[in-house]
This record gives sequence, structure tokens and C-alpha cells, in this order.
Amino acid sequence: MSLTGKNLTVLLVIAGLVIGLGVGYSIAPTKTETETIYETITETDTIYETITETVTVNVAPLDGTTVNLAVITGVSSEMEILKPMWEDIILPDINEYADLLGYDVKFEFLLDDAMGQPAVFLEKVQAFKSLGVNHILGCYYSSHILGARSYINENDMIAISAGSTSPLAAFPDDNIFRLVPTDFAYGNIMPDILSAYGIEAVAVMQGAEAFGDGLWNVMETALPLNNIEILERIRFASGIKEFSTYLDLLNTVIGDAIEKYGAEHVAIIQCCLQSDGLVFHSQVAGFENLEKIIWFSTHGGRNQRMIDSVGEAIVTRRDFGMQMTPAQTWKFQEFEERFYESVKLYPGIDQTNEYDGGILASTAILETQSIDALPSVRIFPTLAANYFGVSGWTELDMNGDRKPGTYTIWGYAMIDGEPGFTAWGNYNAVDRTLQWNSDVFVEQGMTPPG
Amino acid sequence: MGEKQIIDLISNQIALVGAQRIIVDIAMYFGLFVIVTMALNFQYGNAGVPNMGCAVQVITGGFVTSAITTRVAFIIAKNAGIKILPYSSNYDWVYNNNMNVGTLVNGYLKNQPILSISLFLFTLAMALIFGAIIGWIISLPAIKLTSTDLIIVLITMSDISNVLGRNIPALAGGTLGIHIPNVFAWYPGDRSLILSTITLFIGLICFLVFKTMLNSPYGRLMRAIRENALTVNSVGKNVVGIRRNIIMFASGITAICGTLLAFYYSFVTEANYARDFWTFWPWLMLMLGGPGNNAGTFLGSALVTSMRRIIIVYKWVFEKFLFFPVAFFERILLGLLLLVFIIFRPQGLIPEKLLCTGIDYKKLISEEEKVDWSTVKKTKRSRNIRGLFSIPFKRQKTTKNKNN
Amino acid sequence: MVLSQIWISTIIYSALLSILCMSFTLTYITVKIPNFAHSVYVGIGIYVSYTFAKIMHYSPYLGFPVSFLVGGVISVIVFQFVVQPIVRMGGGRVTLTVSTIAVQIFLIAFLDIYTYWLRVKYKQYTALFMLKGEDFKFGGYPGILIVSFVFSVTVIIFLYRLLTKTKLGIAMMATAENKELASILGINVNRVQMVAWFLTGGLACISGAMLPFWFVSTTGLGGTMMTSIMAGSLLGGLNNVYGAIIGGFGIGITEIIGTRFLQDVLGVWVGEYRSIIPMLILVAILLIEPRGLQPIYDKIKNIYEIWGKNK
Repeated sequence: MSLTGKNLTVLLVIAGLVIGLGVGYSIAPTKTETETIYETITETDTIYETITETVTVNVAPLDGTTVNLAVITGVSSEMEILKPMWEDIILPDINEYADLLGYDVKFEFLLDDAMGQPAVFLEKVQAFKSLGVNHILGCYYSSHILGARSYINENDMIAISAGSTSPLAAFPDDNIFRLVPTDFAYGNIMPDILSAYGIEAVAVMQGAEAFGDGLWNVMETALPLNNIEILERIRFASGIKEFSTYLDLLNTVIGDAIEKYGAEHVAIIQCCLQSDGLVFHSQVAGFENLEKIIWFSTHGGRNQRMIDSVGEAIVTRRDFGMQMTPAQTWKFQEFEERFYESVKLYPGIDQTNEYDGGILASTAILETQSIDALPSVRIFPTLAANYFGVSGWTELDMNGDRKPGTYTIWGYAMIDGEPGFTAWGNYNAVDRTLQWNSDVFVEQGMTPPG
Repeated sequence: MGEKQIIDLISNQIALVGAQRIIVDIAMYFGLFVIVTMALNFQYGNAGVPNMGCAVQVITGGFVTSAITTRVAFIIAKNAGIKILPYSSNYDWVYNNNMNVGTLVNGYLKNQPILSISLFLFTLAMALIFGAIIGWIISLPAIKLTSTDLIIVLITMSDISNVLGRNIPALAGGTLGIHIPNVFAWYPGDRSLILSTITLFIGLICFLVFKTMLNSPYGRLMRAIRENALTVNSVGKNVVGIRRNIIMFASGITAICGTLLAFYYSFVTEANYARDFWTFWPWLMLMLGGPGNNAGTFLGSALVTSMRRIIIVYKWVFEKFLFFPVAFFERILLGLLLLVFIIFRPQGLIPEKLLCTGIDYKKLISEEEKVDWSTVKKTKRSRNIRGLFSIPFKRQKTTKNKNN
Repeated sequence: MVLSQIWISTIIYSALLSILCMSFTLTYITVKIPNFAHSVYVGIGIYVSYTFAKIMHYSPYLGFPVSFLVGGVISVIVFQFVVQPIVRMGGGRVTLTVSTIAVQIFLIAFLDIYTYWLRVKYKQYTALFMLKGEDFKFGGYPGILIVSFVFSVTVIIFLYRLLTKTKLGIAMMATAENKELASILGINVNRVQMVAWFLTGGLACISGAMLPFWFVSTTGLGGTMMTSIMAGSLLGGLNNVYGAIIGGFGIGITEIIGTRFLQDVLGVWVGEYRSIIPMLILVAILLIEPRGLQPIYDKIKNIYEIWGKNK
């Protein structure tokens, strides 16, 4: 066959597709909803008739099936945490609960990777749709969620995000639920805590990504309202792994501020991803002024990697971080133990939310006895409101985003002569009260604030 | 599939599932990629410019949609009496966007099919114009540098475009992004279905346009430049100008792809237009299919898009046998398949058809090899290669005269 | 301390970058393509260091020869099984460039699988790690500062000796100039190119092995440095291996010190554009002088030669 024929076929197929669809659309009845609905009803009628002869009532349609939950990570390096966590912790818990309820249902998870790109994320979501998997978990990045948002809504899927905070994804009546409050919550809580700590001036370090920008936009007004002066806002380029340019600038800024306010009234706020914070602290050594003051950060306070990479130096910087997990519950303590057993790291906010997301999604499937997303979407807000998870009450607001609850303030400390971390206080976002653990301050040779 | 089902499918009385869903999703991605790849082929296969900066051109389309179309839609809706929240400052532009686009503008456009369509066409036109402007900027290094330097500079340029998008909120909301108006809100059925149809249709138009251009005297001039720029220059043609025109035109077409992608996502942020994704995949498609002819471009795009999707969907078969996440295995399969194709068919699955024997076109495209035209044997063009996709070269009359 | 902290960081970064630029340029000289699989060699080096330090509990410095070997062997495999067949089948320069991207997708997945295997087997995290604790101190300075700087200078001297004084090196340069002519002269072109690729992979891998001493490392760290590497090589002149050290330091210093300086002059916002400042300078240089710094080297060479004659 000559090449001409091939070419012709390719073109004809495409042309045929285009014309066919056009013709199809033009002959389609414009508004025939009533007709079609009528037809569907008659179909079900016949099915019903045939069924009644053999089976009386089918209470558990999912019995004997395997239900798949899709988990999509943001970047590849998260895989080494998510896979063992799902295998060792979340999946056994879900399956045990299904067993207890007496259902013969087996849950499985399908872990995929968005490789940091929204375009790939959408491809993976589409692939899950074609496999008939409608419950998407993970979804850590706002840009990923937003890129796939219209697809998820239009194709009756449900996305339960464990990490997206962008206010742009806050829509009422859509199929996206987020187990994290938006930037507005955190951006207002951080200044509250800083002013309670006695900070008068801060330098804000933020990454040029959605999370950093979102928080800065809120804090830009919230910090002055709390009588805290913004010394400088340093927005570092994303994707770089070498920060000495910014650290040198920060060193100068903080040096001037220490002279003016005193070292105990100056702080640095870091609004960036956990990995960037790690890189940052690892390069601080040698910049003298930066070692004299207290650091605050969004993901700080409890990271095994930080202790391994920075060592004792991190203890003097404290790196206070607020995480929305009430640490003084048995549920959290047990989860932390199991997590460390499995992953050899301490769980952060992303992981506790992932656990709660997994439990909620599977409960929704079991209760509705359907792997379709729409029944789950219907009951999800109610289900979440009545669930106390590892990360506390999971009540959602009208946009399907988490309502801010109890925050634990974590920070590094010397524990038995070794660098470690502990809870330094609690913050309740409902009545905006703050309580410091005075014992810890005394133990670490500091005076409790306030 | 029965007639009723087809009608249902199109008017979305039943949700698309399973195989139908895969086909529509693949068709969309295929349509997007085929536009970019064809434009690349136009630049590289026909004009010899290895444009590794096509991500810049795609991102331009996205930014046009977010920065211009959204604002135009706001103005129109405002004039229609809808109370659009303020959007002049960066903060308002981003944070009122949810309400402005999500509720107000989309609600308005839902009852305005004519307006929606003209807004869509307007966006395409703007993408063409701005794409051409970006093409002019790209052509500055492209006419000065040699191949590898040029490749590196253009890759660098696509990084620059992403950084600009990230740091200038007025373009596409900075890192947070911008929702864009849904110009297909009036359509009762599945939005991705109509959008993929339109994308394929635009792909077809682009194909016809490129084909016509290549068959015109201008197209022959282009090929002549690719083959030997010096000779063309010496006969008084403006080589630099023609090269610039080629890049500008192809750039405009590529920008249309960015616009379609923006409408597909209903959302624009620079992260959607990652350099890796929008440079490397189109290039793989082009090289796999075979540069220099559009049949190869179509085949390459179809093959890579469907191969990618099939591997993504069916990789779970292997999950039981692997101790590591199957996502890694996906990349191994994909890399392996691509390598096998490239190694065994380095000139592409459908190599460019040679019109005169004796000239190694393949070499001409790949290297800066000089051809001694005086030694080229002139033979009669065989009949069977006059196909739909081939470029009919007319035998020059001068040859005859010489023989006489 | 004589050196301030920002300069210590700059020197380490630039030295590592310049080694990567050198090996990148070496690939370019042999097959005239930008090799995107280069970033994977970096990742391999990183995880050789990881294996030595965290699994076998040796000093990661002992892993450098292993890195060199592993990187070299993988690079030769890529050359033999991907680059050579494509060249033999008649693939052009762009085909080769695109194929290195496919190689990158393929190899990085293997690296990810290896790290995941380590995680399963030894129950410890493998991503986002650092080896600062394993480093030694020398006169108050981190060991990696001295090691990386000395190593980059040594490599340049070694390459200079190799390429100008040894038979192999001259054969290498001859092959780079004209492959057909070199093979007529009796040079085993394939073997010479293999040696060049071995050096390429080995050097990139050693540079990768040094990264965890100063940077938080993952398998993808090399990918994030790729544009800097390409910019450095282009600045130094793609046909000149020795220029790569100037290119590497040029890019490193512009990126860190240059941005810092601009922040003082223009404002703090310049920091947001840090990653593109060297690129903009590079594009500007190329638009004025498409051969990078090559003409300057030629001038220096001329002056040197004239001076030598007069003496």
C-alpha cells in the first residue's frame, strides 16, 4: 500500500469524526429531557420486574466487589511516604471497618503521580474516570485541583484534597472538598500568635508559589493590624535549591531590626512548602543574625529530616509551626506511633489529613453502597461534620473547605540532651484563644510569653 | 452503538463512561498536540528552525485568554448591567475572580450563545496576533544563532516566560491563577465533547492552511531556504525576513493551542504550561512521526498521545507484581517505547518523501551540510508520490532550456 | 573568617556547576548535542553518596571513585545502546537531542525505583536528605568548599593535559573536529567517543555525589539545575571545555552575588527573578556575540602566542 492511501485514511478518519459529530449534534433533539427520562423509567421497570422473581431485596450492592480509591500525589518524592502509609495504616483501618459492618467489600488504593504538573494531574484524573474510579484523594496542590476542577465537576467525580489552600478553589456546590482551611484562616492566625509571643517586627520569607503568595496576601494586612511591623517581604524564586542570596539580604535586614527592637522582639516567618523550609534552614549556618532570633514557619516544628539535616542548630531557632492537629488526643498519639513505625518520619498536617480523607471517602462509599461520586458528594459535608479524625473535627464550611479548629504549636527543643521537638502551646481558632505550655518554656530555659 | 445512544452521547443524556470517555479525552489531547506539532513541523521540517521554545508560544495563548478575554468579558457583562466586583488591583483581580467569573460572567454567558461564540473567536484572533508578536521576539535569536545554541536559548526563553507569568499577577493571577469565562456555558451537553470537536476542527483547518502554504511558491521558497539559505540569498530573496515570517506565523498557530487548553481547563496559571510538557512531548511526536511531512505529524501525535494514555490507564495490570509504586513503571514503559521507536526509525515513522533522487534531505535537515547542487542528478518525478500530503514540485523550465 | 558566608555558598555552588558544565560541554564536543540525560547522572551520584553514608555508614568521600565508575558506565551504555544506533540509522542532531529526553524519563524512573527499594529494605527515608553532618571542617570552613573547588580546578588541568598532551586526547579533539577524517587517520572513533562519554558521565556523577554535602537532595535535583548547566556551558563556549569553568563560575556568581547586588540597587523584588537573571545576561551576550566567550579566548591565545614568539 502506498503512503498516499495511509495519508488519505488518516485524514478521512479525522474528517469523518469531525463531520460525524457535527451532524450528530445538528440532528440531536435540543431539549428532550422529559422524553428521555420517560424512556429510562420504562427500562428500569422491566429490570425491576425480572429481578423481583429471583432476588427480593439487595441491601448491599457492593458485596463481593473490590472498591478502588485513587490517590494522586503532587510530586514524586511524596511516594515514599504515601505508599507505606496507605498500605500499613489507612487501608487496614478501612477494611477492618468494612468487615465490622459485615460487608464483603475489599478496598484497594491506586497511587499515581502528577509529577508536579497540572496537565499530568488532569491526565491521571481522566485515566481514573475511564477506569470507573470516582473518588480522588491526595490532590495536594491547588494548581492541580484548579486545573482539573471543571473536569471533576462535569464528570461526576469527587476530589478530597489533603493540602490545597488556595481561596480560588473555594466554590459552593461543587465536588471538591478540602480538609484544610483556606489561606484566610492561617494568614490571620499566624499574626495572632506572633503578637501574643511579643514579636514587634517580622521579615516574611515566602516562596513564589500559590501557598506562599496566598498567605502573604492575607498577612500583608493582618500583620499591621496586630501592631507588627513588616521589615521586608522576601519572595524567593521557586524551583531553586540555593538560598544564600536571600539569606544574606535577610541577615542585613534582621541585623538592623535587632538593634532597633532587640533580638527577642524580632522574628522571621516562612511561608513555603516543607521541602523549601528544610533547604532554607540547612543553609542558615554562618549568617549570624539569623541564628539569634526565633523563626516561625507554616510547616515547621516537627520534622525528622530537619533534625537530621540541621542538627542542634535548629533548636535555638525553634522554627515554631502551627499544625491543625490537636496533639493531646489518643487518636493522634496512636496514629503518630503507627506512622513512625511504618515511614520512620513524623506525620505532618498533610499526612493526618490524608488519613482522615481516606476514612471519610471509604465511609461514604460504605454508607451509600455506591462507587458513584454523587451520593458521596451529597453526604460528605454531613459525614465530615460528625467525624473526629486524627486532625480533629473535620467540619466543612459552605464551600466544602475545612473550618479552622484546634492548632498545636510545635517547635524544636532539646529533649534528654538530643535535638527533638515538643508542643509549645495550643491555639483554638473557634474563640481565638491561645495557651502556652509554660512548663516547656521553663524546661528549655526561656520565660513564657505574656 | 445505536442511534439513540449516539444522540444521547452528544446531548449528554448519559454520562460518558469507559471507552467513550477515553476516546473523547484522547481526542482533546490529540487535537491540542497536533496543532503544536504541525506548527513545529512547519518551522523545523520546512524552514529548518529547531524551535525548542514552543512552550513560550503555547503559554502566550493562555495569557491572552486570561489577561484579555477575561477583562473583555468583564466589560461586556458590566455594560449589560451585571454588578461585577472590582478587578483593577492585583488583589481584587485574583480574589474577586471566583465570584466574577464563576458566578456572574458564566451566569450571563449561559444565555448568550452568540456572544459566547464571538468571544471565543475573538480570543483565537488575539492569540494569533500575540503569538505572532512573540514569534517576532523568538526570531531575534533564531536568525542569528546556530542549532544547538539556539535550542538552549529557546529552552531558556520558555523558562523565562514561566517566571514572568509567576511574578506578574496581571497576566494570569501570578501563582494563584485565574478562572476564565466558560464560553460554552450555553451548550447543554458535555463541554469537553464540543471543545474537542472544535479543537480537532481547528487542527484540520491548520492542516489545510499549512498545506496550501507549502504548495504555494512561498512554500517552495521556504524549502529552498532550508536546503541552502546562501543560494536563496544570493538570488535576491530576503532570507531573514522569510524565516521571521515563518516563525511568526507558526507561533500564532501554536498560541491557539494555548487558548484551547485554557478553555479546556477553564483556568489559567503558568504551571499549566510547564516547559517539560509543552516542549518535549510535541518534539517527541514530531521526531517519532517524521519531520517534513504532515502525515508523519498526525501519526506521531496520535501514536504518542494514545500510547501515553493507554500506558497510564492499563499500567495497573502490573501493580500486583511490583514492590514499588507503579507510577515509576509507567515512566519506564513510556521511555522504553519511545526509545525503541527512535532507535529503529530515527528518521520518523513516515520519512519525508524525496522529490529528486540524489539529495539526502534527511541529512539536510539534521546537519548544516552543504549540498553541491551541480552534482545533483535530475530525474523524472515518479507518479505514485503525488499524494495528498506530498508537495508537488514543478520541474523548472530552465532545465529544459539548458538541455535544448 | 576571610570569606563571608555568601561567598562560601557561591564558591561551592559555582564549583559544582562548573564540573557539570565541563562534562556537559564534553558531550557536546563529541556528538554535538545537548544531553538532557545529564541531570540523571547527577541523581545517580547523589544516591551513590547516600548509599555510602546512610546504608554502608562509610564516609561519602570514599564513594567518589564508585560514583565515577557508575556514572561512566551508565553514560557509556547510553552512548552504545542509544546514541550510536541512532547515529548509525541516520538520525540527525535533533533526533539525538529528543532521544536524550526519552533516556532521561527512562533512567530517572530506575533511580526512583532504586531509592524506593532502599526505603523498603532499610526502612529509612531517601528523599530530601542531606550529608552535612558527614562532612569534615578545615580551618573553620566546610570540607566541601575546599574539595569542590580543588576538584574543579584539578579536572580542568587534567582535561587540558589530556586533550593537548596525550595521544588519546589529541585523537579525541581530532574526532570532534572531523569524524570521517579522524577515522581515515586510523583513529578508532568509536572507542575515542566512548572514552569521552565515560568521562562525561563520571564527572557529572562525582559532581552529583558532592551535592548532598551542601544541598537538600532528591532524585530530581539535577533537573532543577539543568538550565543553569546549559547556560554555563553556553557562556563558556560550547566548543571549549576549559571555558566551562569560566561559564560555571560566571553563572554561579551572577546568580547569587549578582542578584544580591541588584537587590540593593533596584529593590528586593529582583530576587523573584533570580533564576532568569543569568539567562537574560546569557541571551544578551549571545545576541551580541553568538559564540559566547570564544572570541575572548581567541584574543588571549593570540596575545599569548605573540608574546611567546617575541620571547
